[in-house]
Amino acid sequence: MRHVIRRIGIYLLAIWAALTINFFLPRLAPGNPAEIVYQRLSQHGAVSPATLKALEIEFGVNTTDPLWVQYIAYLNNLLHGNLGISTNYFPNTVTQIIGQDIKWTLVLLTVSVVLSFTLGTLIGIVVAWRRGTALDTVLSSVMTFFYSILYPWLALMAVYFLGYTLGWFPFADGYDVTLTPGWNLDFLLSAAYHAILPALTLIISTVAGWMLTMRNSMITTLSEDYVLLAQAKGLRSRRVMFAYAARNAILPSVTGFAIALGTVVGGALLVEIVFSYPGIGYALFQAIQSQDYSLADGILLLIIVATVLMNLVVDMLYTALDPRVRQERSA
Amino acid sequence: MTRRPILDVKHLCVDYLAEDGVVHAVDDVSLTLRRGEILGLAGESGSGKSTMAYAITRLLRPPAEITGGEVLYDGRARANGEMTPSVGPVDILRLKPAQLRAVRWSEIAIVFQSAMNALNPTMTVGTQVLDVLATHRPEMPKPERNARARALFEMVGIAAERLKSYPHELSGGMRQRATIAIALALSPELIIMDEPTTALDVVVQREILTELMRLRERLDLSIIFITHDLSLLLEIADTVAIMYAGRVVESTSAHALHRQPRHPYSFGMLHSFPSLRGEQRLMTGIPGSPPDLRAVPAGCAFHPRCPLVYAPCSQVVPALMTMPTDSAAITDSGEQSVACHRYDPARSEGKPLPTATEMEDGYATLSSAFQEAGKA
Repeated sequence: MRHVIRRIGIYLLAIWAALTINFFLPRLAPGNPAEIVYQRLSQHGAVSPATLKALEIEFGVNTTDPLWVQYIAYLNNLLHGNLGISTNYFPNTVTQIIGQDIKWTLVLLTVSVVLSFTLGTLIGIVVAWRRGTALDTVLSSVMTFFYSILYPWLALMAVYFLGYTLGWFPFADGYDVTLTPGWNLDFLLSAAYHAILPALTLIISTVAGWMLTMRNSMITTLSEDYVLLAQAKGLRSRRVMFAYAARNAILPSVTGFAIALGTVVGGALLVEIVFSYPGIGYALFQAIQSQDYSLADGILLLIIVATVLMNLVVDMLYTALDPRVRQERSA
Repeated sequence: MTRRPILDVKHLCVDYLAEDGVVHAVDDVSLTLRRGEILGLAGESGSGKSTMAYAITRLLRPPAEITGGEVLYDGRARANGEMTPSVGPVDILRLKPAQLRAVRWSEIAIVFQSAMNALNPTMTVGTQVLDVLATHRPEMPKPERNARARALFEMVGIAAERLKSYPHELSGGMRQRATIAIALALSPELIIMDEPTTALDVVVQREILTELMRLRERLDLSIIFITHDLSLLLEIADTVAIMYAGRVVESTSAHALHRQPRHPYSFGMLHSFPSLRGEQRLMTGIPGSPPDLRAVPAGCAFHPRCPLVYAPCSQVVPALMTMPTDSAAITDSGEQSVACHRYDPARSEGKPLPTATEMEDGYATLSSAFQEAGKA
C-alpha cells in the first residue's frame, strides 16, 4: 500500500512538471493567440482595437499581471477543466474539441491495439512452442517482413489500392457524412466500415512486434527447469504452454502493452493524417499547422496525463502478475 | 535374493547435434536398477550423468537426440487398474505420447538440482502439487486432492499452510522439500534425483537426505541418485555407476567400490575427499580437467589424466568387463564391472592387476608432472 501511494506521488510530480513546461513554453514563443485571431478577423474587414483588447482578456494574454499570478490562474483553470479557447475553432473551447475528437481515436486505437496485442502474443506463444518447425519458419519470416515495413508506406498503399483504385473501403472521414451521428445502426455500421482500413493497417504494422517479443521471451522461458518439470509431470501440453511458460514469458510484453495503450490517447498521428480520420491526432496535426496553441497544448497535456496514468496501470498490473514484485514492494 | 530390475537401460546413446559435428554425450551406457534400491550415478560435470536422467524420462530437447538403446521399465501391477497387470517391461523410448504422459509422474518422477528454478515462480506451490493430481487423477474429488496435497507437504516436513506460498517465499531447503512432495504426489515407483542436494548448505543437505532415506523406506521407492559426490553415494546407494566422458567406467556395488575401487578414475575420485579418521596424507585429486566432448581423446577418454596409462590406452576404447568378486563375503552385490585395459587379460601386456599403492603413487607422480607443465 505504501508503495502504491509513493508511486502515485511520483506520478503527480511528473504531471506537475509537464504542466509547468506546458505553461512556460508557449509564452517563450513570439506572438500570442489574441493577435492571431485579431489578424484573421481583420482580413475580413476593419476591426476596432477594442476587439483586440477583448480578445486579449478572453485568452488571458498580454496582461500586466506578473508571471506567477498567470501561472496560478493557469493551474486554477486546469483544475476546473478549462483548457482555454481554440483559435482555430473560435469560440469553441479546447475541452469541447478534445471531447468530440477523442471518442474516435479511443475506439479505433483501443480496438486495434488490443487485437494486435492478443493476436501477436498468441502467435508468438504457439510459434515459440513449435520453434524450428515449418510453422515457425514461415510465420517468423513473414512477421519479420511486416515488422520492417514503414507504416506510412503501408497506409498509403492501402489507401491507394484498397481505397482509391479498388474502391473497397472508404479512405477519409470517420463515417458517411450524409448520416447523422448518433446511436443508430446506419451510423454505427458506417463508422465501423470507415474504421476497417485504418485498423487493419495498424494491426498489420504492429502485430509483428508483439509476436517477435513474445516469441523471444517464450523461448528463453521454455528452457527453464520449471517448464521441463511441468512436462515431466505429464501435464497436458496446453497447460505447460500457457500456465507455466507463457504466464512467465508474458511479463515483458505486458509493459509494452500498457505503454501502447498510453499512446492510444495521443492518437496515431500518421494513421489519422493518412486516413483523414476525425481523431485527436488529426486535430493535433491541424492545430500545429495553424498555430492553434491552446488546442495543441491541451492535446499535449492529455497525452502526458494518459501516458503517466498508463505507467501507473503497468505498475499495478505488474504487481498483480508477478508475486515476486508483490513481496519486494510490500517489504 | 536378487530382486527383479525395475529399470534396465541398455546401450543407450545420446548425441548433441552441433554445427561442427556430433557430440556423443552418452555413449553406449547400460545400467540396471533393482526394485527398492538406490542406483548412484557419479561423474564430473559434462560426464553425461544428467543427460542420462533426461534421456530415461524422454525430456531431452533438440539438439540432444537419443540415437540408440532401450530403456526397459517394469512397473508393478497397479491395484487401481491404471496400469494393466504388468506384461513384462515396456521400452519407454517407444511409448506413444499418450502412454508416455501416463507413465510420467505416476510411475517415474524427477527431482531437479535447483528447486528455485524447478518451481514456477508465478504459481503457488500448492497449485503445482494440485495440477499433477488434477491431470492424473481427474476422478478424485477436489477436497480429497486438497487433503492429499496437505498430507504430502506434512510427509516431507513442511507445514501444510505453506501450500499457499509462492516459491520465492520459501527457503532453499523448503523449496527442495516441496519439489520432493510434488514428486511423491502420485506415489511413483521410481524417482530420478538429479543432484537434489547440491545447491543446499551441508546442514540442510543432511536433513533432506535423512528425510529421503526415511521416505524411501516407507514408500518402497526405487531411486536413481545423480551426483558428483561419490562419498555420499557410498553412504546411501546400493549400486554405483561412475561415468566419464559419456561412458560408464565402473559399475559395482557401493560396498565393493568402497572396499576396492578398480578403475583409476574411481580411485582418484574417492581419494579426492579427505577422510576424517584415517592417517594424514597429501591430497592429490585427479590432475587435469574433464575432456571437451567435441574432442574426446582417442582410445580410453581418461588416458591423458590416468596414472596407469600405457600403450593400448590411446588406441583402443576399453569395454566394460565383469570382474569376479574376490571376496566370498559379498553375496548381495552382484558383479563389479570395469572399463580398463589393465583388467583385461587380453590387453594387460603381462602387467599385474593394479593395486591401490600403484594408483596412489601414480597420481602423485602425475600431479607433480602436471604442476611442472603448468609452470613451464
